[in-house]
Amino acid sequence: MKGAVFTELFDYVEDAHGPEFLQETIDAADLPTKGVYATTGTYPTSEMVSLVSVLSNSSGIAVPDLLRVFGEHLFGRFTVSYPALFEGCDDAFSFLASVENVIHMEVRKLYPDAELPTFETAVHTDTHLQLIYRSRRHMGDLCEGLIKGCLAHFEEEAVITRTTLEESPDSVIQFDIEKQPK
Amino acid sequence: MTENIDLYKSIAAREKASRKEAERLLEEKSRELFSQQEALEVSTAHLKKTATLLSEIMRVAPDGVYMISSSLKLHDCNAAATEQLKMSRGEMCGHEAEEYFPGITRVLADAGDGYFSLEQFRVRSADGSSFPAEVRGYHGPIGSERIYLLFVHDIAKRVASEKKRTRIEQQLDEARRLEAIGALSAGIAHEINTPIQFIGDNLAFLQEALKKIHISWRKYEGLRSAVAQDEAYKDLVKDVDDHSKEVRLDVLVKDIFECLQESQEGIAQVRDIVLLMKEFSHPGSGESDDVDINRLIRNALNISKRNIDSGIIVEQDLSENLPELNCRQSQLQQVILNLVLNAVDAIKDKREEGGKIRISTKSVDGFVQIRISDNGGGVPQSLRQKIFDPFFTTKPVGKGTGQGLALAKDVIVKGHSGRLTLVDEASFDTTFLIELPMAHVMEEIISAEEHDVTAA
Repeated sequence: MKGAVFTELFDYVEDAHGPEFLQETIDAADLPTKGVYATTGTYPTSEMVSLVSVLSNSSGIAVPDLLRVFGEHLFGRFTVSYPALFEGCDDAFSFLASVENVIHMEVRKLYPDAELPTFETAVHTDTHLQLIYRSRRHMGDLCEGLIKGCLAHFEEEAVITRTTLEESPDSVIQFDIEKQPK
Repeated sequence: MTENIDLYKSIAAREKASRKEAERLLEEKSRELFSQQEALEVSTAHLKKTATLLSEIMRVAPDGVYMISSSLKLHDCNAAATEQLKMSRGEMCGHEAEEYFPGITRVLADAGDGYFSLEQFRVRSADGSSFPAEVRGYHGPIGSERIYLLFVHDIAKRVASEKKRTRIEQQLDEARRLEAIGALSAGIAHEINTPIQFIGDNLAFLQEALKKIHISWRKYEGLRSAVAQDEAYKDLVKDVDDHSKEVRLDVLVKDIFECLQESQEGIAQVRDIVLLMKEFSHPGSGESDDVDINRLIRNALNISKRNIDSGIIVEQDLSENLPELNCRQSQLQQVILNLVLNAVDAIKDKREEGGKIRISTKSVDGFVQIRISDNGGGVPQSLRQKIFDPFFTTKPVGKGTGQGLALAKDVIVKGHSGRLTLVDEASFDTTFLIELPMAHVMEEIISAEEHDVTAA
């Protein structure tokens, strides 16, 4: 997983609960990297799972909920850190449909070794977008949070229906996003 | 304590910001690097494509391309060049250009910057053979060096084809000229033939009549002798004798006989000329057959044996490897005979004693060559152009008709698509060269003539 996700998580926790809480979380997670991450690096997904588990325990919030909330926050951070990726995109469906062929391609320019999930656009109409998420890291909840963050960024209302197509070895999830009139 | 905590927080915040700035810069550099690499890949691919294209063009280029350094050494070349010089690129490189392009040093020294061209240049291959070429060249900077580029186009086939074409055109011109003369001869022969016929007949009649008159006169002479002593005819006999003495009748009759004989001979000669003219206008007669040229020459020499004095040596150098030629045997034999007899006459006229005639045969480049040489004084330079013209002769009046060489040339050129020329040969004054095409060359000539006719 990209270091940016870890550093954003740390910033998010630190901003919400202070540096001491963050350090306690890192210590409790017993991370092989000791929590030393750089946005440009790539780190084991298992460390993210450990961190989120610790946070879940300490906060009493379920892991899926934590990942969704963090995903929503993470998307907002991406809009700040990588504004170039959003140039030319006026709505959430267009952006989400371009993730596989445009956004991921740009990411690979920076990080050729990045192991990215795939986002297949199965249906794309004005009101309905069907995305098929496929990843070995099983981060469907984080993905759902990111989709929500995207809708929030473009100030659009939509209902997200999530269907698990496969669980192992890859997690394959179908997201049907139905746009709601404003 | 609180101050320390605030200080550490400030330091931590600054460090965090520094890290983020470092990461941002790193990403920016990564992006730049990616763009540069992408551009590099595009230009590398373009370069590779261009290099491949150039290499392929050089490989398939039909002309030799030679790169010559400013020190006039061969530096590089393409595939066609290795075929032209019959050596590999490795063997060629480093050699002086002059070795393979004799005279190029002077040409390149005179060539300024830019393009130059040489219409015909002799290029020498590594195996010692050579070929004519058209050369286009360039002198100037290529990359970081100043070099000469030669684009060499082999024109051997074209030159050979032009030579062949020129030869065929000459033959066609010659054939046309002879045809025109033939047509003229036929007309003249026809016009002369009729009066000559009745002059000849009248002369024969006069000769016979004179014979009868002569017999009558002899009888009258007997009568005169019988009555000469008779007084009654004395005066009459005296008158006849006086008249006979005055007109010298006996001599007159003898002279008339001689005049008529000479006239008959003259007319016979004119008849012969007319016959030759007719023959000249119809050279195509006679059946063609596969002929052993050497046998033909031996036959001609046997026929002419009676005319060859014992003092004249006849040498034969006949190649035993000649192919048989399809030709009109009697015509060709007549040509050889004429040339041999011409040689004999020339030797008799010019030499007190001795003399040599040499006849040789050999095959050269698809042609059978027959050389008839003599040491009979030769043909003056001023007459060389005329000797094949009809009616031209250097022999005394009444001895030559001036048709022999013209007819011979006609038979060889028109009848056999060959050549008859006067050439120089060491140890001899005169050498006639007959060149007759072998079957495969004959086919080419006929094909070229048909092409020529079609084109016309």
